[in-house]
Amino acid sequence: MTTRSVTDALVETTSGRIALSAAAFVTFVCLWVFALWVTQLSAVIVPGPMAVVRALWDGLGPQGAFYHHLWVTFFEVIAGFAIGAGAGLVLGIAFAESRLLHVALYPYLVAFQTVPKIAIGPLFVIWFGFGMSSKVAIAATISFFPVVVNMIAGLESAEGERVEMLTAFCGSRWQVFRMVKWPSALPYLFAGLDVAIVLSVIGAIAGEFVGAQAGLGYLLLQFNYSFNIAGIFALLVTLSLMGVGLHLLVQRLRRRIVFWQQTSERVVSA
Amino acid sequence: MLIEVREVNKTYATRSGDVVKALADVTLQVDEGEFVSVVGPSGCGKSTLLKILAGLVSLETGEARIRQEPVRGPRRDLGVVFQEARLLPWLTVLENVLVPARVQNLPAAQSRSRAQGLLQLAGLSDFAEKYPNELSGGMQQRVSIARSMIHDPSILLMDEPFSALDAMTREHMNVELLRIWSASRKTVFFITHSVSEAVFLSDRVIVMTARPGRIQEELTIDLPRPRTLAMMASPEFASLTGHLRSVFEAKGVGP
Repeated sequence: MTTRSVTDALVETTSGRIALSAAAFVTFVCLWVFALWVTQLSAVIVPGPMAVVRALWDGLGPQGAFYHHLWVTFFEVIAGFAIGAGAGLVLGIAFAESRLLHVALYPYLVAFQTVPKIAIGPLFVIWFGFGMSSKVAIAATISFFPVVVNMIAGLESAEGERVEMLTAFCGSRWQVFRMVKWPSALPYLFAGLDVAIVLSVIGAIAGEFVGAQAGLGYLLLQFNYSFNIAGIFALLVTLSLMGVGLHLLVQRLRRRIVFWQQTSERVVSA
Repeated sequence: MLIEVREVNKTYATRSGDVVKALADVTLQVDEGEFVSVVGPSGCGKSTLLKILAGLVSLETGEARIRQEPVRGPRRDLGVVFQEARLLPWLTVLENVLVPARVQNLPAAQSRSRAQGLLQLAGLSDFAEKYPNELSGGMQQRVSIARSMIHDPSILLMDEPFSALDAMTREHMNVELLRIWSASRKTVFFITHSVSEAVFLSDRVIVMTARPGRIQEELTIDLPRPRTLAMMASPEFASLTGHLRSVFEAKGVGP
């Protein structure tokens, strides 16, 4: 076997790819341990892999301490995403279908989009309190933009030729929307939803940083104050697992619904 | 007289602000059951003429009538075939054929069996449940022809339907179209830039030249039907196409 065919076998088969990823992970852990041994850093400042695994077990094991906070954050993420994405979807349709709205309000939408949404966090905590609603509001605001922008772009992406085809067969404006524009917009919508769900996690955590009584972001600050660095690592792993899980869920939905288009569309950044 | 176009004029403003005269005093008629082709170079306004009849573009001066009624918008008794198949990729072949029926709220069960019949006529029965991207360009265009007939229109408007296909497929599609046409006997208004395609298909060929789009000549094609590809090698065919080409040559434009 030549070097070339070994590489091909690793890259092109599922088991080969899993083996490669596993090897990278093991290498990373070894480097981590080696770096700790060389630098002689205190385990309090930078924990070793075993300490993180232990912290993860304490958090997510059968008697895990994270669960309550995990559910709080999860609820904030999902509720914020649902509200933000729902509003983005409806407003996106309104903007794409109404010339008047588009001309009057779109510049403000673009301007507001440039505001770092996390900066509104403290304001929302004052308005909505320390409970979950302020985090839901931040997550909703932050998920709104990628959805609204992609929805508009998606509806406008509908091929003029297809619209003309339906018009030629006496299609009404509503039928053109339902049968041509809406399906054309779906790949874009999913690109927006994909960005939005990940941003929603960021929004919820940022909100919890500003002021909260529960949630993974709240717990992370608690661990920070008590110098529980291994715990922080465990929380980061938990958060990224949540993010990856939600992202994969959206991807799965996209593949099911937008079955005719398997290459992912370009995302309008938001 | 089924289709009547009288002294139609149409100008376009281009993006740079120039005004282009697309159609100048175009007058023509099409009788019931007739297969009429308009042949001309690209940019001679022949597609604009078709879009006016389809109710997709408004005319400036003159008149376009179908069954004595002025054309004011899309009509249910028209079937349109475009240069591209314009199928919807999220619908199956059968669902694509059913699009006009759905849009016009025709009875579902009846339309379904009609669609299956049309797909059979187009030689696509085995592909009813496939998606458009699984089909070749020629097959997609046949689906779009079936779609244009699902609501049983009396008139088919065809805008260079085979120009995107390779020469072999194109000849095959011409034969197929004549077969479908002879089974349904609809009135066809066919746009093309191929002289031989126009002669092969039509009862009558209308020659248009460009800038401004103007009708130069009308020629009745008296080749017997059913037509076969072998006829394209006949002296009668050669003299008809030769005559049409000389019209373009005299104007200094090749179609």
